[in-house]
Amino acid sequence: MSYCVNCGVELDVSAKKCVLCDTPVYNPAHPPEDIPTPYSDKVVLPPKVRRRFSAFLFSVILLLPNIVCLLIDLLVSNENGLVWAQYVNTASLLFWVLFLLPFLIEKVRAFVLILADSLAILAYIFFFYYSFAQTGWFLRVALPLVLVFAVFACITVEFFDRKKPDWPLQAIIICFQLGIYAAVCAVSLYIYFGSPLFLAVPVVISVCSIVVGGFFIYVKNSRRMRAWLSRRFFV
Amino acid sequence: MAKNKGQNKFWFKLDNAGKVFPGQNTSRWSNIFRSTLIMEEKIDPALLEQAVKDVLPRFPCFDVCIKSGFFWFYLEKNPHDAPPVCEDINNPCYRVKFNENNRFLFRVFYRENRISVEFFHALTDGAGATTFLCTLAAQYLRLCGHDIGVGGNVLDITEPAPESELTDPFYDYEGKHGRSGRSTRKVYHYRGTPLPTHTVGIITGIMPTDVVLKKAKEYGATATEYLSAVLLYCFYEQQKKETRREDDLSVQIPVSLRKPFNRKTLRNFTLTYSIRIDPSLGEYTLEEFVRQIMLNLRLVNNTKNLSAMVASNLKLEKGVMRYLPLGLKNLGINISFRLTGEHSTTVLFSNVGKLNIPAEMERHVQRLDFLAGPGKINGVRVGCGSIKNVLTVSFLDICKETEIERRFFTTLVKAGIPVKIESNR
Repeated sequence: MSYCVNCGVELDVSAKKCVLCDTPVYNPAHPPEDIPTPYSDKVVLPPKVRRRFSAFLFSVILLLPNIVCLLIDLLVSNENGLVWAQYVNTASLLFWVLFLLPFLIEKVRAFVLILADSLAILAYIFFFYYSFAQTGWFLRVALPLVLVFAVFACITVEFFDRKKPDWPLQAIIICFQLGIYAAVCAVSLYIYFGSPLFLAVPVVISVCSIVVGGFFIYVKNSRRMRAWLSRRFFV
Repeated sequence: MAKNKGQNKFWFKLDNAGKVFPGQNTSRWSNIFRSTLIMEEKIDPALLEQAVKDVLPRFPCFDVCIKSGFFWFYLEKNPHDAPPVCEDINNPCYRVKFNENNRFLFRVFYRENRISVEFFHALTDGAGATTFLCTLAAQYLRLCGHDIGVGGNVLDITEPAPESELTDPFYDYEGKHGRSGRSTRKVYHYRGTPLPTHTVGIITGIMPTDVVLKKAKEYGATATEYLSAVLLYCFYEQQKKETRREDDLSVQIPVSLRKPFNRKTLRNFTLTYSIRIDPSLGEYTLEEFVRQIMLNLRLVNNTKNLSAMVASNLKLEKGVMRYLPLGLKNLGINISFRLTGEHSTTVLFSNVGKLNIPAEMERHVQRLDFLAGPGKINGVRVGCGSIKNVLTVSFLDICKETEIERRFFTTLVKAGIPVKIESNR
């Protein structure tokens, strides 16, 4: 029999180290190789849930009513072309990209999905913009707002995932991004509407975010402040 | 138990305690626990397979598969002979799927000189499982040529199962007033680096029962009270080391109701008591922990409290909720479990107590291991069992770190209790 010199417990004769404290065991009387361990080495991992298959099944189910809608619209109003089916089709496509695509691709990084979602949203908005033959607002407002949001979201998610920053740095990044995004909103709304009224709210948000971001920079550098905040605001 | 006319097809309602478990069941987690008997000789799988087939008719409440009705799950006679007897694995208590394992809700494993059974909690509790295991081991020994009698936890397989073993006794002790006394206050949870899904770390401490009892008696406590106090004290020390927070500490102790109510049911008949200690009231010593847990446990362990708790448990079955379709009920149970469930418990300490087996069987058995199934939030769950003069405390951990286990066993060693360790790590 062997005992752990650190914990004082008796160890199984097959043990090569103490499982409680990792202290190695050396007992020439009982070389651990000769003795079977209490538990098998065989690990049974149950099969994973077939998410891809389920997502594929839902995709097919979603596709069928879309085809039916398309055919009905074509057959009923064949002289005017498509009248309403395209709205069903585009909404379904957006739904598919947002909710089913993530399950169809295995081990995809979050920023890829955010980019795909942003492009799908932009395409959906562009469809209405194009259908109603409107001018201006897509390129001046919708496109910059969605694209800037997507870029910020991708950078944040990827940075948080890779670097795993502590909570004050996370707060700083989010505050400054919010400030910059509010500024972008202000500029694009001002360019489109031409009224300084649209500058007010985004500028207030931008200034507040930058001030709060500055506060978190102070928190990051002050150990006492961090400890005080941890104590006061723990959940 | 009901029997359809013209068919030999039995079905059971799930017992009151078991009704929530299928609702909590997910593809990644189930409420499974394990009992293991360590024998003196190497196990012959062919004989063990035969023993399972011989024993199963004596346990009609385990010879079932689960089916879903419109309002509730129910158990129906399993068309298959017996579950397959498999070689033991490194990651016991992994999730159950109702269509696997010949649709049985328990599994049988063997390795070297070990016989293990794993049960889905909807079927029975620790006492029912260990009774099945002892009867199975006795039949196995008979097939090996030994003369083993019946008595204690070994049932007579030549007799049919009496009705008293198959009924759900919760209704007999239903009080008029329910007590919703379960606190939902946040408690401390030990968190570590999670092991891969479906894998667990097991550390079993083996110690002499008489030494543990003697030590517990020094505090005026029982073995359960003493060991659960030492366990909670380890979490108390760990919390102090980790953080300046002073969250409550709570140990959940399942108590079998068979002895106090003189019932012999093989189905779930257990209630859990949660004992809480508030570290913000000041520094505690181990003696104070033992005393606090001992007094709290004895205070709540009486028939009045018990019937109030049973009435509280029966609310799900008695109220309007019973008319909800099964899918909605499952969703509700699942959400409720996620929101409350283990949140109000730091650790579970489940002691199946000392098993009684016939004297002629004792010389073929070394010890009993009891493993409480893995938790979702609680990193560590602890099972305890005793046979002859050997008591085992088994930690089942979903984290890589073994800090709590080390603290627990070194505390016992310092208290003068010799501990031998076995592990799958």
